[in-house]
Amino acid sequence: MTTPTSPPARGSHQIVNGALVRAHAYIALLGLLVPLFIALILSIKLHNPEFLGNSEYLTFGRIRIFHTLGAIFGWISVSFLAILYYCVPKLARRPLLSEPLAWATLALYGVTLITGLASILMGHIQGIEYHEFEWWIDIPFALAFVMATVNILGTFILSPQKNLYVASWYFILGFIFTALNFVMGGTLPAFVIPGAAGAELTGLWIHNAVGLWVTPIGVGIMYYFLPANLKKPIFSHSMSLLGFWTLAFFYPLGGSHHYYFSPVPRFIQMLAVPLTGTLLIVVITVVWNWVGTMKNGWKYLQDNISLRFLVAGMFGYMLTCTQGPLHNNLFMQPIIHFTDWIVAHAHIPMIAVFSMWIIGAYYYIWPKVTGKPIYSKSLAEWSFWLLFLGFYFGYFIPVTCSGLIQGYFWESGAPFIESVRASRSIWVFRTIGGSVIYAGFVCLAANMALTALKPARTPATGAAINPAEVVA
Amino acid sequence: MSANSNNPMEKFGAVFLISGVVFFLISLFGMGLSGWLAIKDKPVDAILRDAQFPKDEEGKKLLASEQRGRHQFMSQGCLHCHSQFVRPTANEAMRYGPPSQDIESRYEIPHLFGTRRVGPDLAREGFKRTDDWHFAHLYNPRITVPDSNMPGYSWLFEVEGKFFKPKQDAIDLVNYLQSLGRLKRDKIKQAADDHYAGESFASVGIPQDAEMRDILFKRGQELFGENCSGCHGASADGQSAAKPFLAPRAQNLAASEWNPGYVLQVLATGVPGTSMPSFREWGYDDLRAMAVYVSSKEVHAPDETLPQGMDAEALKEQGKGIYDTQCALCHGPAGDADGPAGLGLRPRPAKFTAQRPNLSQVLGALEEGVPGTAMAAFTALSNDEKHAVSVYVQSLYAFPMLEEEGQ
Repeated sequence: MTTPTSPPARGSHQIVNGALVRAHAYIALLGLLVPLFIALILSIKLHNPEFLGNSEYLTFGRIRIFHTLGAIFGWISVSFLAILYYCVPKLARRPLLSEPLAWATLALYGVTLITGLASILMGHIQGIEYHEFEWWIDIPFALAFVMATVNILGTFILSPQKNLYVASWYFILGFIFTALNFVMGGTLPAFVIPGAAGAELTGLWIHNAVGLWVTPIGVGIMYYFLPANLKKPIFSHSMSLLGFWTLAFFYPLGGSHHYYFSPVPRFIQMLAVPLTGTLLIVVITVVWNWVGTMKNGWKYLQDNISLRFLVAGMFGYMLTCTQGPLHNNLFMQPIIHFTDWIVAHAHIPMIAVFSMWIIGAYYYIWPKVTGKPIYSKSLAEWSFWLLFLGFYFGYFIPVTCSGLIQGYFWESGAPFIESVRASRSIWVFRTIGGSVIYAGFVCLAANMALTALKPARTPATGAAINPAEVVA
Repeated sequence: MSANSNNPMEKFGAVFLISGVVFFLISLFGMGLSGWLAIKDKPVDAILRDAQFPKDEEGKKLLASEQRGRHQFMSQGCLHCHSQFVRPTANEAMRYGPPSQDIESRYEIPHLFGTRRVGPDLAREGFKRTDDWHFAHLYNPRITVPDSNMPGYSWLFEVEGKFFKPKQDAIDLVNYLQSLGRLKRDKIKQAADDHYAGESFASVGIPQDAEMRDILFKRGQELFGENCSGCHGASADGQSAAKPFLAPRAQNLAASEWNPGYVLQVLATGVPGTSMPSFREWGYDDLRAMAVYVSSKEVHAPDETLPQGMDAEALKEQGKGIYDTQCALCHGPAGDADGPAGLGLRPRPAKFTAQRPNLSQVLGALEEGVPGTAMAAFTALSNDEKHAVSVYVQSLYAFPMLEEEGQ
């Protein structure tokens, strides 16, 4: 049996549970619109700190955490589950290990996440970045994640397809690594290992949450939906192998780059520089593979909105995964560390890579799981351009600039407040940019909701839906 | 596009075990726990150990308060705007103090190193500012730093009469802040305590050149508005939103004449025992501009005149007699705040050689004392005697700047 070099053909669609996919997508959209609305409030509070007055439950420090956790664990992660419940059965050529388990996972995950976010507003905050839920939320949350892990991995274990497609490798990696990482991050630096040694572990947690959860699932999604849209196999199997194994080995070793020049032991910081630098191999390999796959495919970008989101996300991936290894040196770090530059860097993946890949996947699977073509091509175009332009011009470029301003002001010895004053106008600009981004997300949510609720006006995806493909 | 039909690296087992589990363990031990091995047996300074394992009741109570305050630091969401380690780079030592060492956070779980600075790093915040400053700042940061974008934490305070009192959570939080940088804290406190022992700025004066003076005045005015008006009031008269918080309250700067060199010195060192922090991170030029502004005639509210029928010369002599017996003990025989009792006070007594208070100020201090300082009311003095002391105190001023300019 040969190793598959592209996703499975149509016809196996009955193994997908459309209701499961839709339910997760709706919750993910909630996890998009609420935490990102909070992001707008945060943006305003930075330049108008008295905005919305002085309430304990809306204080900046708490709603900031609400935003980061809501975006990662709400929008990004639940979307991942929605899309995985479509891809994995198809990749494994069998239904999910247990659909009741998937529903139970959603219920537990959703209740825990909402309770957890509320607990943050009440001040139950553990001081580990992205792991701020206290232990009593962490435990059911981890349990829900383990349930999803068992379900997804179990599906692959029982699959008749023993030679796994590249996307499957990434999905498996993401789940098992993250299950271990989440438990590590919530226990060792929080309760066991103090000070600088705890910071090292926190660095590993933070870094691997992005690189070994969000990245593998997102890259796997790309490996699935790019060939699916283009109806041709991935460019190079060897590159798929190289890209996967270099990611899996090198990415987990770079975590201490979150704590350069801190009291974390010197030798670890020194090692993190080249180890993070190796990620250039990963991004070059993977993007080359995708660009190779895109050969003769660029002309479809005009009409295939799913493809367009995926490819735009690919450019963002290239940007952030090149910027990371390059700014990860001890010449730039003294200036950019702690500043808005890092905030801009961190939002490239969240908005311009993974959100775009998720949306690309949604525009592909949504017609199949609702039985209707995408409601409005115009809304789809608006969702793309508002997000794309809004992010790069309204967020990435200005916030990178404010980061440089802050870093150089601090180095100059000028009083700290001077850097705050100097950043203010850019923060106002970011509020505008953020509003444009938010509008783009609203268009997406509206398009998906209207697709599900109403018949199409002008089908966006070109060809009519093949009834045999529908899994609603 | 080769398709190796039986590459074990593409099967579930290899992916799960090697990339998922083995690589996780390599990173956990190689780039994670290895650091703990390097740190865990390092000897910790006695200052840190004694604070962490106090032997007396007071030490235990303070530690408990600091631990609660640490919890507040997380619970109120401070950790993502304020980092807690000073880096050995980017001139941070100049701003914050010595770079952080690993043993300093040896007992902190979880660490609060932080990864972002929207506000300044707090690793060496201890004793840089007084508790009063912190309470005012916590209640509404724009009181003490008018352009701050930090949120206010008014729910940590309760109203008592016409004052705001910090609740226990605020007290704990401030105790925690004052514990930060414990290892080097006393050295930083010592630097702040060099209030009168520092470099002499006596040579700083108002420039003779009118244009230069104008430039400095305007710059000082701008800086005053941005940095000082929150406590000292927009007209430098002490009427500000900070009043309910501060004891002693911020000086009514307008109601005294000031030696600009003395103002510069106070700006550089702060006033230990009060909420006045040091502004040394502003450069000399800016401090001088502020000194010029504060000591300018535009800012100064004109002095009151003596009531009808009082003779200044006679009063001055009478006042000297009273001063020598009742005031010199703290304020010093020549008004240099170097009296034997005054040297040990925090804050130190007013230095009349560098500050000429208006009549109303001296009378007010004599009648009511200065709450928050050791200056008590001198109710035993008669009205005439109070005026006598006032006239004498005013005569001690050694920098007749305004008189020279024809005022």
